Amino acid sequence: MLSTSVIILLREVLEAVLILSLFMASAQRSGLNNRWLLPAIGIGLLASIGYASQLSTIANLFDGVGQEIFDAFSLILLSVLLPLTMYGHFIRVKENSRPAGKLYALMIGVTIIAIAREGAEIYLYLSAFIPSPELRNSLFAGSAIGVGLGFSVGALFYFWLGSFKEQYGLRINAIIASLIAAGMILQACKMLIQADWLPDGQVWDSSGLIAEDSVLGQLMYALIGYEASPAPVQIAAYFIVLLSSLAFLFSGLYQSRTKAEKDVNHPQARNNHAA
Amino acid sequence: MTSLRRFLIISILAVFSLGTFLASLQGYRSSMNEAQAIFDQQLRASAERLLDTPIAQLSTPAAPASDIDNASVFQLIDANGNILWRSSRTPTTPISAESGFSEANFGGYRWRIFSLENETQSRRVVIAERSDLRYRLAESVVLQSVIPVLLVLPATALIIWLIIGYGLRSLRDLAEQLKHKATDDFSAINLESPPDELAPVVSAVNHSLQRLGDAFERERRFSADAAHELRTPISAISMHLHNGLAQPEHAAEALTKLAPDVERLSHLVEQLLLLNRTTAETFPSQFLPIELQKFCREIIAKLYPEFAKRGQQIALLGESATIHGDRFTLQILIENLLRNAMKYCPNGAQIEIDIRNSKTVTLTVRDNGPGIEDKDRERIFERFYRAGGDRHNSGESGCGLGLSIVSRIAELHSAKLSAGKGIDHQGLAIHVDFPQPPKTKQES
Amino acid sequence: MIRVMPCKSNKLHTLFLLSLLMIMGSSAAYAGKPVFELQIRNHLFEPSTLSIPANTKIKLLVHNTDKTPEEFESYELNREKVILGGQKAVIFIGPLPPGKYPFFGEFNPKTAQGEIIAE
Repeated sequence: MLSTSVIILLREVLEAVLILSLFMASAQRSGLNNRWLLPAIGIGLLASIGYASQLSTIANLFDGVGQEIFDAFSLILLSVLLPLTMYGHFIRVKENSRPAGKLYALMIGVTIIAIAREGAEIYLYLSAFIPSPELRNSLFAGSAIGVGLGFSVGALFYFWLGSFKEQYGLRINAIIASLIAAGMILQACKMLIQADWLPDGQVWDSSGLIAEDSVLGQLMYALIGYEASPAPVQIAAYFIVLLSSLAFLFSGLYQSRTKAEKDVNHPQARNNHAA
Repeated sequence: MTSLRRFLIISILAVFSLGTFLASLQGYRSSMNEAQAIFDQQLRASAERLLDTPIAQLSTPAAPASDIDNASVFQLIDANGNILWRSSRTPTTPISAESGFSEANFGGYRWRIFSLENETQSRRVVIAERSDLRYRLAESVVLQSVIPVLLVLPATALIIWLIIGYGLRSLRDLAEQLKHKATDDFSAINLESPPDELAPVVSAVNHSLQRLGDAFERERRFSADAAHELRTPISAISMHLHNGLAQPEHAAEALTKLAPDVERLSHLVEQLLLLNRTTAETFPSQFLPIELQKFCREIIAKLYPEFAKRGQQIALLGESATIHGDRFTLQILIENLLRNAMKYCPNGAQIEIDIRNSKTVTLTVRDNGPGIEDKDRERIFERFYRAGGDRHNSGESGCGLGLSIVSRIAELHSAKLSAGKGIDHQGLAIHVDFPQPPKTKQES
Repeated sequence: MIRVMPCKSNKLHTLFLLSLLMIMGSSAAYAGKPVFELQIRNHLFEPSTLSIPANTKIKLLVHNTDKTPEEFESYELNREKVILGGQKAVIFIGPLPPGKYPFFGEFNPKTAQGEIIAE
């Protein structure tokens, strides 16, 4: 029970926490505050309860694969919104005057979707077992360990992201965001395969090397979408999203840099004229 | 990373709980495996005991298998597959299980099964324990070692919080002192036993504060000195101008008299700037040897008409002495001391310059004027040494400011100023002690 | 950001549509898959061993008769699905090469265990 609780809580918390850490670190670089965070988490948790309570209705849509389709849809949405949010941060790092309303909206939106997804499973799991008193100790101990591990990794991840100088920090943020987005598309494909919307298959099996239910496996799952035995479709989608997201974000970095260089050069030129 | 304290607490707690949790998780898993192994061993032992039990005649099974809720059940089966003996509430049909350990569902539960065959007696024993109960039992034991770790964590977090707060207190103290410092307060920061890491910061800050204070003081002194020193030549110039305008026929004469005054004015401005920009460390680079007797004679000659006008007597005493110094500033020093005496003393008073050359060169200007009370002398000495510019508002025209410049010049020459009794224990004496550089003796 | 957003979402939009078309085609080809049923009762899978044909896509119907939810999970099959109490869930599996594929209920992993045997 303890082990199970750790795995379920860790897996769900870790996915959301890594995105939050990435956002918080990016917000710091682009000069945004973290006031959006608590309301977004609160709404996300409420949405997760709502999602969980509507799950039976959702599950019966699309001939019984509604859960997979819904999940895949939210994952695809996240894997698009996540690079977009990061792009917004990159632009704003160089142009601090730019209004941040849309950026806040994006971060809040991604946070709510991510927490609603992850929170729903935690809610279902906890509400299934809290009524049985003989399981309570191991349930709570396991949940505490799982949540504690998740938040600890998230906090260190946040500080790690913040420890780089700006130009490297932004590149690392771009890479991490792309990896997370690609991992999400991998999961989305898994759901679509499960719903028989995409063909199944197996390219390799590395479960002997890193088991998916180990702590390391959970961490890699949340960070780079690790899967021990992926299908060809999953790998293809993974690399398509990874590369296009990287290209998109690095073009954003490059654009904002050239723009910043122009901004720096311009007043100099004017000064020369004046002189 | 906005707060050092928050960063330290969160990262330390994160590392701490990461380590603790992974360790307890690992401990939990291996303890659970160990417990399962012990249960399996017991299962095997029970099976062996059952298999070895000599059974002559076997009665029918003890009880009907209506309701299986035992923690463990067994069946003893013969070669033909008939159940010879079984525990009550056990399936009446043989449990199909391969030899050794396996798991299967029956009776609405999941079971851990051990099956052992005895070839010679053609018997097989199948013994099974409920997986969920085994697991729960093991877990309730193992949890006893995990839960304390979790319960201790909040207390640990609180203590880490307090310790870090305590460790950072001198930093907070420093920030607080700096925050509440007035803009013109250049007094040193005082930290109670600063840690090694902070001591260089405190001393660097104090050093900067001191330099800033010195610069500030120099600025203040400069404006006061400038006003004081420029007044005399400017009034001379305006007098000559006035004369020239009043008597146009003598204008050329007046203009000629104007020229040296203007020159003196520009020289004065230059020197004032120099005086106030240089520090005691850089100034001596332009020092030259000066013979004081000769030097003072020139100054006295220049000021003589003014002394004569007041009927005051001026004398130069003592012996020959050579010091290293800056001619122009030393001239101002001696002039200021003489003018000071001139102003304070009544008509007909006596004023002396005395130069002594023993271990150090001492120049004394003394008079037999009204002098200053002992207490006041100390106080005035302090004031003119520390904050001569303040005298500006004291009402007595010119008083003190001249001394402020004197003290500044003395400071630049590393000379010591002191005050004492004047001629025949009357009036005032001001001593200027010049340090004697090793070269001076050889030259003199 | 505003300038690029439509361009990006357009690209993904077409990508999504394309994959959707592909999916429609592939599901049509798999019409009429054999159906297998599994029950969850008292946190146990019944039957705990399920034989299915190898190299064939099958439709697995899992009926959770418990009141509590369960998550059907298999690392070997790459499947995970939450099944609420009293609900029936559809999970497509395969085509699988012959072999044993263990699965378990993630919420009760010690008792809810089973195996799919493709042969």
